[in-house]
Amino acid sequence: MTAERLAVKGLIVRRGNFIVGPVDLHLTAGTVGVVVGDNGSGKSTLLLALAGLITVEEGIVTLDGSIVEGAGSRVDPWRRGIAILQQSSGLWPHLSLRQQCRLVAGSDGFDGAGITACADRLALVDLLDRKPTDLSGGEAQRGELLRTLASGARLILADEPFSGQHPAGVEKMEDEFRRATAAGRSVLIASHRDDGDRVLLRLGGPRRQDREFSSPGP
Amino acid sequence: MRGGSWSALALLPLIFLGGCEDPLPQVVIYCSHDRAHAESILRSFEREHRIRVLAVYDTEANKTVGLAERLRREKARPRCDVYWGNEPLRTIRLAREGVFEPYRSPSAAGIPRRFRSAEDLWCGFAARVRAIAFSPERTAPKELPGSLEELVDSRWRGMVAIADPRFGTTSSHLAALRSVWGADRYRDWLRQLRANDVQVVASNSATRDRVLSGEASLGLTDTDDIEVVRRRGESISASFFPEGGTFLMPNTVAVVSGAPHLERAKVLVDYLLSVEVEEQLAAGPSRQIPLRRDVRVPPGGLSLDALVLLEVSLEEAASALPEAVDEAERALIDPPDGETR
Amino acid sequence: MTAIEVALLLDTLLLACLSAALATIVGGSFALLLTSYRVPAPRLLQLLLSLPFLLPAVVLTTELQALLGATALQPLLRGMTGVVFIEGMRWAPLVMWGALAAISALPAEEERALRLLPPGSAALRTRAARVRGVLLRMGALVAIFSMTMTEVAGYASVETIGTRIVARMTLGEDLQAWWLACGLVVVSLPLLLVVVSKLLQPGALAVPTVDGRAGLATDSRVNFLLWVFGSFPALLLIAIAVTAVPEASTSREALVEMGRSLGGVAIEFPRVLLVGALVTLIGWRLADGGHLWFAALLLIPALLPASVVGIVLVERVQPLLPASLDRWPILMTLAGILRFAAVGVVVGFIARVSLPAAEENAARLLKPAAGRWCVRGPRAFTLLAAGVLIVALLALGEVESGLLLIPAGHPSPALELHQLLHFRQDEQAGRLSLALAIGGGGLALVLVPLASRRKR
Repeated sequence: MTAERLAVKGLIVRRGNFIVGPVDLHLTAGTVGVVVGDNGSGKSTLLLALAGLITVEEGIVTLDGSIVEGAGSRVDPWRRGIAILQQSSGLWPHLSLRQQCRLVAGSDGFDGAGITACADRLALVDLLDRKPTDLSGGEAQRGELLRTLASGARLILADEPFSGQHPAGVEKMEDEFRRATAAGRSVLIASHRDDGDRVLLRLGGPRRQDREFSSPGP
Repeated sequence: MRGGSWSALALLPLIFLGGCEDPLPQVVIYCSHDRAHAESILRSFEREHRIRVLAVYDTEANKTVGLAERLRREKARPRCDVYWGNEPLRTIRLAREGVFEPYRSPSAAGIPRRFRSAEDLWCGFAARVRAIAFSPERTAPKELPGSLEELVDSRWRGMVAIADPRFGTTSSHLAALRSVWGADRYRDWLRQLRANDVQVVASNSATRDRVLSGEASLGLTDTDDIEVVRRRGESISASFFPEGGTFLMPNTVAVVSGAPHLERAKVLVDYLLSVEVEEQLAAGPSRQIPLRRDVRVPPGGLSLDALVLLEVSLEEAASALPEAVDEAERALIDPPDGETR
Repeated sequence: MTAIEVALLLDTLLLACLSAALATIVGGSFALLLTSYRVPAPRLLQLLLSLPFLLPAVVLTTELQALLGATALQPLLRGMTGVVFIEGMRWAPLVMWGALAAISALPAEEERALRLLPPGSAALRTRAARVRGVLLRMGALVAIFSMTMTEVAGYASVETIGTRIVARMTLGEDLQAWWLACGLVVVSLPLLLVVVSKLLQPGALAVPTVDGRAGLATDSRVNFLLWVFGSFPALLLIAIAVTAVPEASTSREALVEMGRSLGGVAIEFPRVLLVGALVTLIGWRLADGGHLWFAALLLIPALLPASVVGIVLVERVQPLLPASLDRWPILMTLAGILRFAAVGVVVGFIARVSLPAAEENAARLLKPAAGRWCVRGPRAFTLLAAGVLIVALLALGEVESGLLLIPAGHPSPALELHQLLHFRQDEQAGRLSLALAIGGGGLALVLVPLASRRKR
């Protein structure tokens, strides 16, 4: 379990008139890593760029040894094996939680029993056939995590995943991240809270055209 | 797109709803005569001959190019068998372009030669005339102009309406005037008409409607446009031109060259040129004028003998059409000389 | 091109822009008021305000003439004022639908915050600012369609470049007609750029999430204003209905002929709905794939007068088809698709940018087909349904290319209406108009539940 899951080298993303990067980052398979930064420091932008959802200006992103971004190649987001839990809800309001999980699971992700079991652990099993509009904010957030996990993606990106949760909910989500890493999946969390030794990268400094970044090292 | 393509394909049969199988043999006619009256004549033909008539009816000119133009454009592969035009000049021009096939109908025997093509490419029947629409309540009959030239009289300033001179029977009328009067007199008349603030409106029916609403005192239009509203009780009358002569516009019928159903086309032409059809048209609300002297004219109907006709060669008028229209456009539609918009 | 023709081109551009501006102001205001205030019977009101678009232009103009022709308002119907007034009124519902769709797609939090503002100008202005992009694009679309107008301009006795092109073609002067058509396309290109610009930003609009009308203010002045405007179309409809009543002696024939008209409408409805569905699907698919410039190409036929499109099809395409297909309205359908692809494209792009960014991102992590057909398609359904309806109504009212392409014997309610009104067979025309308005209104009620938001 020491294989490198994600390697980022010299990644620069431009959004409007501010720039994120250059970023260097390494995440080992079966581990949780955290990117820390203040509001507006570019954490979400970085996650979206890793998922291939926004255009990257420069740099190389490697996933399990294959380049997915940079050096003249760009793998489509849906082929990367990445799932993302976004800060604002990305649940689709016209489908129930179960339908959404099935849709993302395809052949590689959870089967029906896996979805139910995971939902049970996240205290969502009675809500599986509800649509997102019938869920509370915290339930919807755990629901989106359920969908993310159900996809079977090797790398899970989570943007402020605990922001709307009560402590018990946070505990349940953390358990699921541990379970995922135990199964060999990797989790990259973006957070404004310093998370001690799991921190891989600190995005800091005021909003500026050129931003300085510091990495705690390998 | 796959899912969407399949669902779209599933809908495709719906557009074929219009093309269901018909047990009767068919003939196709393009008809620019009033739909309501033409339809009853064509239904009679269907009953009598057991041939289904599939018709396309014209709309009033100026928003679209019209059925005559459709025939021209379909010349490479005609879809139509018979053309029933409501005026002669465009038919003549189509005949010159080879759109029609010669056919001498036995029913055409009584129709005077001047209303038939020398090569039997078309034949005229029941005619309408151009007339002045006026409201008897607002304009006394004795005040009415005796000729077109009086329309430029200053007492009618701003109170004469005429349809867009580039389309329909108005353009035919102008072409006839140009061929009779000569270019100079025609252009001069147009200039004076403009100077007299003539109202140029969309169509003959709009011309009539301006008279009905009182916006115009006189409207240069067709007899049938006037007659249909007069019969509904509107206060409107038609006046003809006792001095200058009235322009007579026979309906025309022709067999389309390369018609898909040639034999049936001839049967239909024979029927349309029959005495009975002329009688029906004369009795109908479009108040058509029979071209045969022996056709019975109903009470209140119009007959050739009652009118002073404009002596014009239809062939020459057809040749004059493009210049007449161009000059009318410049004189009546475009801004006056030297002005830009 | 002569100086006069260039001037005519610019005049037409001016008329089209003024008509579009009026349509945008009127339609946008209706949409803003309908969604900002608790108005009695909003669906009925929405339907009444949509009526000018549900009726063919010829009926709208004739009825306006009948209602206002003898009053002091008559100058409203003549000259350039008349064109702008009638075209503006005719297209205002289209803008209203677009704006309603956009406003109903505001995110819940934003909508709730708006409802906490004083209901006057602050809330209205903020809402208007949020849907400005959609209003601008709908306005440009109206301007594009108005550039080729011949019909309404004809009734108001105004010469447009469209009429001139038709006049040239009627005399067989094709070359001149094509030059004018090219000029029309060139002059309209900036409008086209407005329509297609910035149409690729996801999440520019967002999801409908707010509970119905809770928290909306009531204002008797707004109710009065909307109902006054709504009663004009109602008055038109009543006038048509009164005209349509047959005399006792002819009621049996009237019934038969009404049945025939309804049969024609029933045959045409599936066809025009198919045109609407295909056009909207194509437009949305192009938007979904981000094929902006290909979509822009599809807008070009809308810049040509329908007669020109009809002539091209009849001259160039029809000879290629086997004669056995002649009695099927294939070319008419094709003309509808070409003419109104612009609506499909605009609706498709608006639908695309209506999806919130987070949902769009999540959808992009699915296989493309699953993302498209399981997420983005169903999420765009309301807007696409509105697009289908708009195109279907436009195709149903199309006479210019219809006359050139209709198979002999095929029913066309729009052509029939023109013929009936020409010979002042007002009763039959009234009945046919009612059939069209009822059919179109019914479809609108079924397909476009825009003003009433579902609880989320």
